[in-house]
Amino acid sequence: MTTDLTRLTASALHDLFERGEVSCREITSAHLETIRAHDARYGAYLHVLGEGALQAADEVDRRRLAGEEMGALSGVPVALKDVIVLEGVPATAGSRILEGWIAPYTATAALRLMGGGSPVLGKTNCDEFAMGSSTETSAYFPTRNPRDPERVPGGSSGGSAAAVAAFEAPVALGSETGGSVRQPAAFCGVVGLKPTYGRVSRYGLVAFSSSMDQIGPLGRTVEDTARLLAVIAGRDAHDMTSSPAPVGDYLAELDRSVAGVRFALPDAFLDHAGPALREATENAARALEAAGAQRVEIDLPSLEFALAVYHIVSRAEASSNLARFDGVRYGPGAPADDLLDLYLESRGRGFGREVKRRIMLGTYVLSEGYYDAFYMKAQRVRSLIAEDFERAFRTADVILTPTTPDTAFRLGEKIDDPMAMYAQDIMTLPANLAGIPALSVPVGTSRGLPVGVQVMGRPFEEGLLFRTGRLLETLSGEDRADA
Amino acid sequence: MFFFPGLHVRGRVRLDEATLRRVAELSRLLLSADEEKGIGRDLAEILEKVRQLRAAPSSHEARFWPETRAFQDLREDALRPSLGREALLASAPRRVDDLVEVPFPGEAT
Amino acid sequence: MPEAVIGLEIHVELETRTKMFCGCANVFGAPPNTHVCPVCMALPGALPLPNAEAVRGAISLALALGAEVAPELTFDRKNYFYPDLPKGYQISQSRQPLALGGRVKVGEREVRIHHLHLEEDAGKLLHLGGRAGVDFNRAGVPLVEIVSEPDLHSAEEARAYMEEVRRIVQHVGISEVRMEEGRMRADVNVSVRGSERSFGARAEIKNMNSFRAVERAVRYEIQRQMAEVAAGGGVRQETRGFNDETGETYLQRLKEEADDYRYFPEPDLPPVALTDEVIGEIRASLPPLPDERRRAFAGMGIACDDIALLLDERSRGDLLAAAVEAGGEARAMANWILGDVIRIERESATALASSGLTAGRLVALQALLEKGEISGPAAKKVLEMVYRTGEEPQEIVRREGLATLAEDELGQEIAAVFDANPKAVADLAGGNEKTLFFLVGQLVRRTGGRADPKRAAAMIRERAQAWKPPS
Repeated sequence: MTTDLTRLTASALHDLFERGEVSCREITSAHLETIRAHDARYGAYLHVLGEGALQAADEVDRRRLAGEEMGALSGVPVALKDVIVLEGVPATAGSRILEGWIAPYTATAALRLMGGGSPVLGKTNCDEFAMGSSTETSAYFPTRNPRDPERVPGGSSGGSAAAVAAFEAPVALGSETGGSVRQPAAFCGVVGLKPTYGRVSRYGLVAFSSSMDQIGPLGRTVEDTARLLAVIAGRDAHDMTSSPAPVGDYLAELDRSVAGVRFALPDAFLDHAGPALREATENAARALEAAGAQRVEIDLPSLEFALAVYHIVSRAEASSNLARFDGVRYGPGAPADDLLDLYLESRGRGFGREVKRRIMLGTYVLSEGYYDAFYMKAQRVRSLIAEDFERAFRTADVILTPTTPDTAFRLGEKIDDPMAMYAQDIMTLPANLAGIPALSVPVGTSRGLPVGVQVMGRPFEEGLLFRTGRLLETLSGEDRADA
Repeated sequence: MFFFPGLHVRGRVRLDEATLRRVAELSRLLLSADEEKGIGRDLAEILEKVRQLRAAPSSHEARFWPETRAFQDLREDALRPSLGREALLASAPRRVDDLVEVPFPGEAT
Repeated sequence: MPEAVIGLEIHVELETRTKMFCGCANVFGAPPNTHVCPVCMALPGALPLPNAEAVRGAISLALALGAEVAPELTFDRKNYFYPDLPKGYQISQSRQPLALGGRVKVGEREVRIHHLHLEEDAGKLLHLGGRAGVDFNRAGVPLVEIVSEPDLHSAEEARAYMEEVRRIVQHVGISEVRMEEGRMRADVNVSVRGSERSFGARAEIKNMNSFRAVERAVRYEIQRQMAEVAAGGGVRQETRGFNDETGETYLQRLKEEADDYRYFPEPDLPPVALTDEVIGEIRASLPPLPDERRRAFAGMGIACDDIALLLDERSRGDLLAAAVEAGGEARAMANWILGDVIRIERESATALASSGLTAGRLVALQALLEKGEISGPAAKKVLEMVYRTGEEPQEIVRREGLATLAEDELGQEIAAVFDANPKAVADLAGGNEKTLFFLVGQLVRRTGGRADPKRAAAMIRERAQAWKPPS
């Protein structure tokens, strides 16, 4: 029975739980068992809750028996990327500078999940401070792609994507700044969403680039992902950037037809993709047309500057957000004779090379004399990119693109070539710049490796993305019961 | 001409050592000679890409997200429970009495 | 003739219930690190939430200074590393300060305000016998910074300006401005110009928290700069500190090594609209400000010097205004306040505003006095008790038996005093006026202040003549 449980979708598990046929403890236990048995192979988890998860599961069971109504994923345990804090549990953000730190408070998204009846299984591995596209910059160890352990799972939410793909968690939360949920989802063959900026609270999410960061759900199906979003979405009084926009009924929208939906396939994206991804995207387009969707043409002229803009804005914000890691209030600290020593030792030892690289660039673009030409200019061009999308969405309802240029690359292949690594996000980062929602859906494989396509939409129209994604995921004919 | 102190642009973008050191100082980052070279090179590569921006058109004003909020959205001046001293000090690498210890600062305010 | 040019940057801590960006208590003197949370401790993942009351208070102050409030509330990050700054940046305002312009009248001079902005305070770095540590209770406390134009020209003016700003801040109601708690601090910019050899560079003297320090520091600094210039040297851009013991300023840092704060818009805080309605509502609820009070009290016939004293602590002016409203005569009320009330406040541990003395009770007390129901000395006693307990004067008089003695009782008491002091009486009868005071004093003591001194003096003088010692 235990192996079977982990093969079910989160939606199926939730139903069984609500009907009283399976307890939350059984579900949680089954997943803990799978983690114990398999995670050494993939390294998806940095920290497993074990007994803590079971106790939480028992509480969920108790609540159901008491007749309490919980959320759309009650009974279903979740994994959290280690940039999301949970009280009493270590949080490292994949970095040594937070080694040993136990968070004294809980992120709002996690609170909503637990309140909704989902115990936390553990904290998943990620690129250090979410800076990376392969989970190789984690200070602890790299995570391996369950579909091919010689390859990367993508990043920075590689641990969460791998956990879901390896049946070590039914669903998981990751975080996005430039594609860090969608790209690993595509590489691992699962579904991943970047919500509209402000859709999900950032309170308790270790900040990387404040104007783009969003917590994003991952699942093996579109419905699972939609349920997860339903539980965590909505305004949070703790986060002033969270939006008061009402949360749609995602589940109700799921099965509506895509007939009449206008979609575009801009060359600006296709041109950056390898043949496998181009073909998969065209395929997806045909499937949409067959279902009654209408293909239209759009133009996004400012996209060529997207990478440069993303670099400047994200690194500038990151350089400031990471200034709090100074060895004074938390972290392992460092022996030091004076204050400057303390800063240099703590940050020198605690931060990895990629993080240092980004902080340096960020500090540079904000510094005296460069601020206007770099940072302010980048923000102006960013506005232009956002306006491009706004205009495009008058003609199209969704934009279809490959999620990544290619399928998962090998471990070690790109880690020494920063520019090649950054190019991984070329399809995904425009959505982060514009603040719009974007969903990656697995649509099949190419030479055994998962292929994902992306649908982007207007702000707060996640429902339409799920609807479209629901159709697209049927293209992935493979049997998802095999790891 | 794209001229900034520390940024050499004839041919390729290159950062001079003094600028690199200043940026590292502002960031409180200690870089080994190796890291310095590596990061200097990486930065220059990235800045090369960034230089394109000069050619980019841009809308008049930078729009900072998200939308403007109403005055009523501001937090009410009501007390919330403190995390407490022990929670703070438990995380601190060093403490002296009830304070978070720091090595005697060598710099003036 | 070289002239001193001075500008002040005054920081005021707002006395809101909670901090600027989180719900931790904003209190002074609490045990270290007891008012902290993820936000003000800058834990990973924490986010700031601006305090509506702090914004309201800052806008009130801006309006009181005649400044123009910005259409939106926006914040910027000021990035630098210091142990008392948990985030490694301070949330402040740079592109769009809360308000621009405004002025403060100081004597004959009008000092222009450049701008006013909102920000958060840092924690406190403390030294404990060779070691150093940080108390984060103060980290995140709301601060308003008022930056003046360099319109001041002497140490006295600088002090007077700061004192007037304090009055305005108090009257707006955003802080009691207890200077001993560090609620108001000033950085002063001093330069000397007008001589061909002065380069007009400024020295900034940082972090003074008393009027006296400001005055002394500025005086010293002007002399120092004038001397430099006279000796043929120039004044450099520099940051200086003030040594309270020696009364001298000392070099802290040369401005060439200026910090690069890398200001950029705070991405965690969207702009907040400051509409005409919002501003209008705040303007309408402004309490009476010093200038308004000055006019009102002058109109009541209160003397200039007295008005100044009344304005130094808002609670005094509040009491006077309320007492007059309640029917009291202005000058009589003012006399009470400026004499006995101030004394009692100083001697007691309770501030006037939290005491039992209300306008109604003060008016009632004066009425009792005027009716002759109590004597002057008795009234003082009653006042003290009202201040402490908040009881009605009438009650106290009845309970303590402080009503003025009737004629016959007075006579009896006088007789007793005479019996006890025969020589003094004889002296008085013989024409020695000084003994009159002594005898009145004895009578007042003996009767616990129930004797009206004037009546008593008259009666003593009368009876002294006719008195015969008991044989």
